[in-house]
Amino acid sequence: MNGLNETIAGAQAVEISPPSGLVPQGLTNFLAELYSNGLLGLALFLLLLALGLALHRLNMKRTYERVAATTKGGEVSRDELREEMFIRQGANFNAAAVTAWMLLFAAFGYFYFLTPEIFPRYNYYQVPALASGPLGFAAFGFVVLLLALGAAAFIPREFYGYYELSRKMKVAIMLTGPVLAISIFLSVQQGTTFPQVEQASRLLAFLALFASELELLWPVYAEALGGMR
Amino acid sequence: MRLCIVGIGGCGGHLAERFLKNQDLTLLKKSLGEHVSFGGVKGLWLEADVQETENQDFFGPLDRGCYPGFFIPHDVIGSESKTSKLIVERYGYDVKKQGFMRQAEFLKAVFEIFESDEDVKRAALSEHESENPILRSAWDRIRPYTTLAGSKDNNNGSEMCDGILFIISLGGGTGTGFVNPVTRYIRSERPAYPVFVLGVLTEEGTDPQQRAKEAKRDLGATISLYDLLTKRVGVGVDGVIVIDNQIMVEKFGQDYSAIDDYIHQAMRPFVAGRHYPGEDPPSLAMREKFIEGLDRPPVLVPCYWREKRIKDPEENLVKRALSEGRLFGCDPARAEMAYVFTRGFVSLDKIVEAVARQTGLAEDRIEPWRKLGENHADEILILLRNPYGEERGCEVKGNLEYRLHRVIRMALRYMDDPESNLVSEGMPDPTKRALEDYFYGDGGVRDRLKEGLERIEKGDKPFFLDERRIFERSSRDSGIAELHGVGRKVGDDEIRRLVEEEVRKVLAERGI
Repeated sequence: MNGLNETIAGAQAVEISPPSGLVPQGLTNFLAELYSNGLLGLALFLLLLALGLALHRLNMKRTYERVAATTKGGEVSRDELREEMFIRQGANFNAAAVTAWMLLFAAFGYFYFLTPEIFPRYNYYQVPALASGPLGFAAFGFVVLLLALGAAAFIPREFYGYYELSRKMKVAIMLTGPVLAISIFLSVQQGTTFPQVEQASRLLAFLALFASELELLWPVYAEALGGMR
Repeated sequence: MRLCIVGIGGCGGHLAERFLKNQDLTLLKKSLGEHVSFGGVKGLWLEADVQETENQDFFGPLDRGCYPGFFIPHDVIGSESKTSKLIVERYGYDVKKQGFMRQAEFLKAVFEIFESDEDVKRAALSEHESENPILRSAWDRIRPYTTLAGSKDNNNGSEMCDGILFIISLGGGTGTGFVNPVTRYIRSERPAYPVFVLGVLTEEGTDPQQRAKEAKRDLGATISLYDLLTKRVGVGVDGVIVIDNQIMVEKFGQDYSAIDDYIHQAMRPFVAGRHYPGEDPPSLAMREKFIEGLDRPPVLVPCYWREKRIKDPEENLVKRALSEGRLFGCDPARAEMAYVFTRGFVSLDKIVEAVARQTGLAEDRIEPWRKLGENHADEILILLRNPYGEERGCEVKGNLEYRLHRVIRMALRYMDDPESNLVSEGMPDPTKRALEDYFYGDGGVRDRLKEGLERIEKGDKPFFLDERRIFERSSRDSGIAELHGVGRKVGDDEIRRLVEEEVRKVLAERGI
């Protein structure tokens, strides 16, 4: 099976359709290099997440230190502070955020692990029962969503519960849902037309995926950036 | 502290909308989840004009379960109501009138009738199971958001409001006329429940929206302020936060939407949640601080400033708030106390020291409350208590005395203008007599406003002294009885003599 995948992956080289001329050639090449390198993509995805988590911890630490520094005696209960800091963002936003995070993981799974061109050894086609089933793509997505559910349920509460989010920011976070759906749709399309690879779709799916990840983590980054001033 | 925001009248509605705006996402203005307002505040809009409610889409009818909702209190009186007819026949007032077009005395008179006329009380009781159905229905709509709600509405008290902030325009419309009676009504149930008022004094010149002349609006403002500031603590409100729209118009032009946004922004440190740990006072504590040492509600002048976070922001924040951020002209050095609300990271000691330095107040006269901020900005709202009282302060432009002196002078000018027609010919005689006496009689509004002007000129505090009613006082009022229009005035000595005679008679009958 591995041999077959490698053959298919090798075959794609001659079937690549050029990306549209919307993006300058140099940048296109750079991005193509970026999105076709699975390990780099995976590392970038995880790095953004890890950075978000680290910055969130830093933000919380900074807040604690600032409150302590402006409090007589410098002693503040961390639990009490966390309780005071927590903001109800609203059920609609929470639902949108959880959905967006689940879609983020699903889009990531679809982008890197649906077709064998990025990770020839680890992908959907490695499971013949799934790949040849009528609902294979959906089942694949469902498994990814299940895997992501735990993280998606935890992350929005932790990442957004302690930041004042403007309505514009909330709308932007909500809009990552449709953007990620587009990314998933484009990846699925790649899966159905594979081994032909439409580079423009691939690029768009990649940009949608990482732009959404950045947007979802933006409240944390913005707070950390502002806090550095 | 969690406040119930009650906008009354047009201006109150616009401002309440800012406070109650849903922070959650909505789809086509519909929210599937619970409404989440900034600071967790809840509230509603009380309006008298049906058309006003139709010209907006933020508030829905409260009685259809909408939130945020509006409510038209006088709708509880049916068009064929006996009570309504009785009031029209006897006093000439139509309680079903749409809006009040800068006539502060209109609602004042209507609610006094409900409080003092036994026949009206009886009629209302038989028809509506309440002596004062308009106020009762209004309070019934407000109460569920408060800690006074019944067990059905009260979510263990945790999410309920422990105080009320009425938002009104001091222009003589619905807000002006409604706020005093409804506060009185609430007080009759809970004398110590915290009730604050945010009143916006309309700008100088003709109001471009309602085309009401300044003098007319100023009479409305004066009557409203007079009534708000002369009620005893425990009868009236616990503090009147005043904002001068003239200052706002100078800042934002005629962009009323931007003005409303700014007023809301300025009040955010007051209503915000996210307190510094251990610094979340209940509204009751705030009330106690506001009225400490006073027997009448204080005037509170808000001074607001916001700036990007810097190291040691305290001095600059206080300085800018007191100089450039005053929402009503005043002399901060004349303040009796300062209540400081901050958002951001500020030191308690430094903020108190800064306010003390800038105002000359003793540190124990400064009450700071801190909250966590947002978006790398620090904010401050300083409420200065009664920041006036300088002899001839009314001649200093930018002082509270200067502005109020002008407002009262304009009100008096309007009263003396024969065209103002304050005592309308078409009214029944008892009403005409009562209004004549209220406005122009011995000890009437004109006399009292003149006295108020003199007190302002001399730098006396407070500038308004005794409450004045249009009709006879009701039995609920704990104040000194005054008769208007009928009977004669009875002096303290005469009352004393009559009581002594009665006591002597009773003792003699019992053989003592």
